[in-house]
Amino acid sequence: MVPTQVTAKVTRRRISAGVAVALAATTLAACGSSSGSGSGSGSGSGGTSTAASSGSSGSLKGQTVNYWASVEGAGPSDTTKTLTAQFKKFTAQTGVKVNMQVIPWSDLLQKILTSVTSGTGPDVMEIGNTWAPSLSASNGFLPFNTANMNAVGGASKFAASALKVSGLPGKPPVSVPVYSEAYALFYNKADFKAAGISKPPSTWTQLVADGKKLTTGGRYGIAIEGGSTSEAAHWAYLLGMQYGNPLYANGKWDFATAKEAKAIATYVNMVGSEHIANPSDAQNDSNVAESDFANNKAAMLVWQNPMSTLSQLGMKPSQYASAPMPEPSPIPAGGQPLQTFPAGINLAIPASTKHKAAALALVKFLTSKDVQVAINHHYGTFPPVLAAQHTPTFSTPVYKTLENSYNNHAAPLPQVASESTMETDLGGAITHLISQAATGSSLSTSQIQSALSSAQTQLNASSGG
Amino acid sequence: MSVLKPSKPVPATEEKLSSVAAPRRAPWWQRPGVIPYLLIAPAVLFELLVHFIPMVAGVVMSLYGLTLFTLHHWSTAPFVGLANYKLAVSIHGPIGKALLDSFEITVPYTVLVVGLSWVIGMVAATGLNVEFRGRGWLRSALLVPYALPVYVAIIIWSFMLQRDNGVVNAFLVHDLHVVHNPPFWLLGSKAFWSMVAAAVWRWFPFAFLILLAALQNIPTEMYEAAAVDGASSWRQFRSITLPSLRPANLVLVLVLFLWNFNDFNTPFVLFGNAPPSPADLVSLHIYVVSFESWNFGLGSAMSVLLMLFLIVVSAIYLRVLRRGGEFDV
Repeated sequence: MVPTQVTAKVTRRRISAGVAVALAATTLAACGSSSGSGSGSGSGSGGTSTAASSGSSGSLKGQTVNYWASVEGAGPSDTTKTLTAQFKKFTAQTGVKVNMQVIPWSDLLQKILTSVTSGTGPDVMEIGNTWAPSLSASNGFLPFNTANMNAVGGASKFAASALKVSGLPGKPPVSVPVYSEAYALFYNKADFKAAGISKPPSTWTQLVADGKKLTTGGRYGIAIEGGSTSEAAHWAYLLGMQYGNPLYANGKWDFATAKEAKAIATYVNMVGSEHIANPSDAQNDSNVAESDFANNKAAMLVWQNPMSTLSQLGMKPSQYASAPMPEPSPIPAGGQPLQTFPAGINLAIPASTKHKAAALALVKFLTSKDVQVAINHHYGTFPPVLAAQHTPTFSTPVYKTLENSYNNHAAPLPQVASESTMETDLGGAITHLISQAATGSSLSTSQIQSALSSAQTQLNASSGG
Repeated sequence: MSVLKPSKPVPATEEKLSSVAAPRRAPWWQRPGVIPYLLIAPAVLFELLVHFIPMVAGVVMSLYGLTLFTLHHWSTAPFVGLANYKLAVSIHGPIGKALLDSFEITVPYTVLVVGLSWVIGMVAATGLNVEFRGRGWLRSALLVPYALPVYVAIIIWSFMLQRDNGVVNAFLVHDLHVVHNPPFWLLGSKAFWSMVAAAVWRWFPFAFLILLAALQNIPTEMYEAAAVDGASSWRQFRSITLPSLRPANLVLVLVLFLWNFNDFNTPFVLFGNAPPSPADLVSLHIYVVSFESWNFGLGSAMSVLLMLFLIVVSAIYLRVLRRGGEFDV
């Protein structure tokens, strides 16, 4: 017979241990379900039909539209100030109030995903246009079919190249462009003059040679955003196209090639073997490259529309000039003289909106000529709306360089649903290569190809490509 | 022994008397066997809502192909059974291999952070358990890293460890002149050690707090008796302090293990969503799979595997240590 006291003790021990294990499990639940709670807690399409019917009838006056803005211009406060001024006009015109929230870029995609899943988000949101194919695949956004497109002024008011990156090919767009950007080379005129360089480089070989001349006295030839996965992915795409290796072919990601490795070596070796960029650039991930260029810690910068930020950082427009992105010389077989992809910000309306008509009215307002001129000029972007493009504001040499690249030498990033995953996987592989180069490792083309191969295998496995 | 004969009717007056004499039964919710359960019911309900239901949702989600394509209409996600689990544990495949690599980084990270936090916390608690002037201030100062919001604490480390402008390199390169080329602390293999340093700095005050509280419960008479018997300080520590701290240590190490194995904040704040390979802890890895690769089914499967692993380790830990002596958790 077991004494009662001992039995109680054993039972207590068992219960105690059980409680501890349960505690362990529930502690984990916070992690284990972090993705779950975010993605499984909402109702899906229930609000869509209601939204469409309630939003499209009756007066707009008195409605409030929630708006998510990405951080543009000189930062969140600048974004708030710029857009608030326009929203006041919109409210005066329509009676619709706009409740704005500025979302940091680091959080924007995750917040969008959560809102798509839960069906509780804003009525209008700004998205990076490279996300448009992925977001289109989620079916969480209002399609800009003929009726909806006409409600914002019709497709013909937008530049065709800008409208190409607004969804998935073959399906109605899920967004419309609001600010356009393009890659170009920016250089410090005084530094070039002091180094005896008479014109900006037009080939990568020239850029490296000029970079070496300019790397002196604590200043580097070029500043790069070496820790940014999206920057790395953009470089991989542009260089890959120039070297004849589009990243995506025959229904799957295809970049683990010698051509692509050679193309990416151009970027990685700026920090590595060529020593024309500061090794510390491998850590840059918050527009530090722009700051380094503005503060003359670097003489060149390859960037999308940095004009507004450079002004905020104290660099006058007269101090720098722009040129198209360099190319290989000669361009390898299959390569294209690509200078940029149509970059920029689009406006999207979640399918769950309960204020469809007011949301469409706001999109129409933000893509109207005067508003386009005002906002794009302030942000240093250029308007995707044709009527606004043809104004003197956007006729400066810098804008002309950017617009020429955008309109005549651009091709969109692969418009497939897994594009954003590519930016993470391929971009991550390249930032790791840059960090190896920065810490002194010498990288061969075959090592780069091996890293690309790992990223490609992982990407195709996760995206089913 | 008398037996009641059921056939014999009870007189009406007798029945009435017995019903008056019997004690009145309390309502069911006031019975001793029910009240404790009623009292803890709200807590159990909220526990289910906050922890259990999301956990079950995570498990269910791991059985579905919840990706970008089914995100909006998530109820239409295809049932894939254990396919996500197979992907996660296929160590010869790219996804399983990456998860295994991440796991192999997380294990030494956890061991180092828990071990170092415990040692530093123990030394500090022992040192500050004796009376001296300013002890209260010192105790408070040691708790500051734990009192700081986690993001603030780690951002401070992020600033300190910057290559060009960080105070660590300024000290090593410009003040001590021990290195000429400023090292990268947040890239390459050093990233792992930077992460460990930041985590230990944040967690040792917790170990200090728990151990100090436990130390104060050890009767001083035991030390006095041991001293009379000629026991050295080290012997007193081994034979009195450590055994007395056993229950506290058991919980402390378990909790530190669970928190650090799940650590998301430290690598995320230091490195963002693309950590260097040596700093790819498993929680951040799962986050990237879920939110950057938009594959929530696979991310959930990985989370469930992590949860099972930690439950098993915790159960073994408690079972093994329970044999060594009595404790209450």
